[in-house]
Amino acid sequence: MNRKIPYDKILADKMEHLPVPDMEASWQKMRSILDNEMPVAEKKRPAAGKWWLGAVAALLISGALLWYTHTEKQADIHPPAALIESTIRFPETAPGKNINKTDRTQDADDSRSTPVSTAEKAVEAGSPGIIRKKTAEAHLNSDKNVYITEAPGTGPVGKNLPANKPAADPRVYTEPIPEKKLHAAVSNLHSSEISENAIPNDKTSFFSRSESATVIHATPASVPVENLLYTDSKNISAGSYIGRLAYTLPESEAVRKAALRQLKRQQRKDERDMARSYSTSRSLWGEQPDRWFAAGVAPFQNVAVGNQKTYNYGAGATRSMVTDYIPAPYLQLHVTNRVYVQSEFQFNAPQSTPALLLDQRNAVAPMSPGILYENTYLRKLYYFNIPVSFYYSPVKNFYLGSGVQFSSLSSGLATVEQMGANNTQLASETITLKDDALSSNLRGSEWRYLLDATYYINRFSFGLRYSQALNNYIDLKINNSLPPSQARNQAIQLSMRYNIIVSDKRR
Amino acid sequence: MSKDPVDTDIIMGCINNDRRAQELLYKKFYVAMASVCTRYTQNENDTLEVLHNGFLKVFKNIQSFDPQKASLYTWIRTIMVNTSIDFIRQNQRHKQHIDLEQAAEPYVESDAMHRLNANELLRHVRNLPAATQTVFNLYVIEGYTHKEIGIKMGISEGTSKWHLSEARRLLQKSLKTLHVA
Repeated sequence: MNRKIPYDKILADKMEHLPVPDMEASWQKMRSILDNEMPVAEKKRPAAGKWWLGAVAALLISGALLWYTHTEKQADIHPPAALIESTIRFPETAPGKNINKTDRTQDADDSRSTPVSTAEKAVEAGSPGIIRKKTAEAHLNSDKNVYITEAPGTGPVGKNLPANKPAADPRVYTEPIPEKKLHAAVSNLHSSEISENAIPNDKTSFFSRSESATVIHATPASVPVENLLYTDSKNISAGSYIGRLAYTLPESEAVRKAALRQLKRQQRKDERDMARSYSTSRSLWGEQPDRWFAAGVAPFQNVAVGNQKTYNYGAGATRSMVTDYIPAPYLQLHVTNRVYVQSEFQFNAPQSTPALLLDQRNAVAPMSPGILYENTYLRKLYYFNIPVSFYYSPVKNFYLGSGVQFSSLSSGLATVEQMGANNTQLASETITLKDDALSSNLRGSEWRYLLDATYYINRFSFGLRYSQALNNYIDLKINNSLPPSQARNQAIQLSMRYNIIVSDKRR
Repeated sequence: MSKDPVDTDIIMGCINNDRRAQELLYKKFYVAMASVCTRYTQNENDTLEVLHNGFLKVFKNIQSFDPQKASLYTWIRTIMVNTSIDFIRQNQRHKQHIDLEQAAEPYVESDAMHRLNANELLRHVRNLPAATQTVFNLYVIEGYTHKEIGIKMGISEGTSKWHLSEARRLLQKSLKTLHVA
């Protein structure tokens, strides 16, 4: 123990309470030293940087959906021989007046054709009023009841040629049905009191049945190209196979192109039919057979909401804002004509923010009176967004949607403003926030809920979306004298979508 | 860890290099540690330099803090004093080799000391030579013995005594000049 003389104690007491420099300014200097000597490790963003996993997953899902759709379509086109048993019936209620064509594989879809249920029963009961159309095997067996045969693997317009029937010209596939047999079949139908209206003059190439709005094209190989029409199973309720009897691609390139154009027109007509079928939908959730798939791109524009401020700088902290307008690819699965699900990938979606104080530093300039302040304000954020929405159409073409969105912070913009005495601005600079100490104050990823309204016109759709984050993206207290910086993301997004790829309507 | 749960949280945060925890620790001990550093330095810039060097050591070595041995305050204060001594050593150009086994004890009137405010007293203390000021602080304020001071400063015990005596003499002289004593 040391030996203090009396005034030492007085000195010690007095020296314990010396005036000290300003604590806040001192901490700012200490913080700078710490930033240099002990930099803060970047906060781990569990989802940030793994957005590509989401993209890959979405691609896999969409690929699986496409494959599934394609497989289903193939199944429709190539039904197993054992399952093909199309029938042309004369309902018992009005024998000979109606021709109805059904397929057992499509029973579920025949609910709209009232005669079918009776006819089905008749089929099962072996009613004599039914003319059976059996498989190729039946045809080969010279079954007298078979007047039209259909081989498995017969597909539309030169596609899906059966492996066991290679054509000499790969563009031409001819169903091996003797023309006379087809004539005989038509004559047979005609003799069964089919109305003249239902059978046009060229009986070999066309016959129609107005009652069920079914259009059937049956064309043997010898039919001229101009008589060939596109036959689409989607148009034929209950999925008939008669239309696939013969498909011939024209020899001439010009005519072939014309045929393809006609094919396109028919596809457009199908899409219009799809829209028209809306009014006939009785179900609250729409018609199941309207399942189809679309993909496209959507330019979008985010609008500042509330106290957010638009900041006219691009992601690179420059005046160029091209990257703010990268269109977002999207995928849509239309489950019914009233319902669809959509996912989207917004790679660099700008998000307006209020001018929040991110950092404040004080400094004493040798030649300047007073203290200089260097304030850093948040201006803009960029996110990688994956919204997934569920849409329902209460009225034709108009859809209301809701869903969730995963947002991963990509980068941000901030301005550093140097303020002198009397609060005069000495300098201002826009900086990028990415993988630095400032951006570590921002939440790396977040979930948002979405509300969406979309108007559909053919392949175009126009959307208005509101999204709101579930958590604050910033909750920062700079010092005791300033209020904390807190904010939650919200956005209004305008978009215009165009379906580049539209799958065939299923069933 | 510290017995104070708040300290424990702060210490854990500092171990994890959490800026907010570091800020809390810094501000919690700022006034006390700045006072310590002020006593050992000649001006505010030096004070802040020593203070920040000291806190940097604290933050870098906080995982070695053992609450069983000392309180967090004592541990940090010790680091600050040692940092101050290091600073003075680095800036001391001419090391004095003075040995004095028995220094005369100058007398300063207690009433005169009472009349001085902290700022005036600090000004007088800062007028002392650096080594003398350090020994004076270590002996009078921190309560170290001459032996401990000798070890800390790398001087002999006698030199420490001489510095203390010199500090008292100079202070007395300084105060007399101001007609305080």
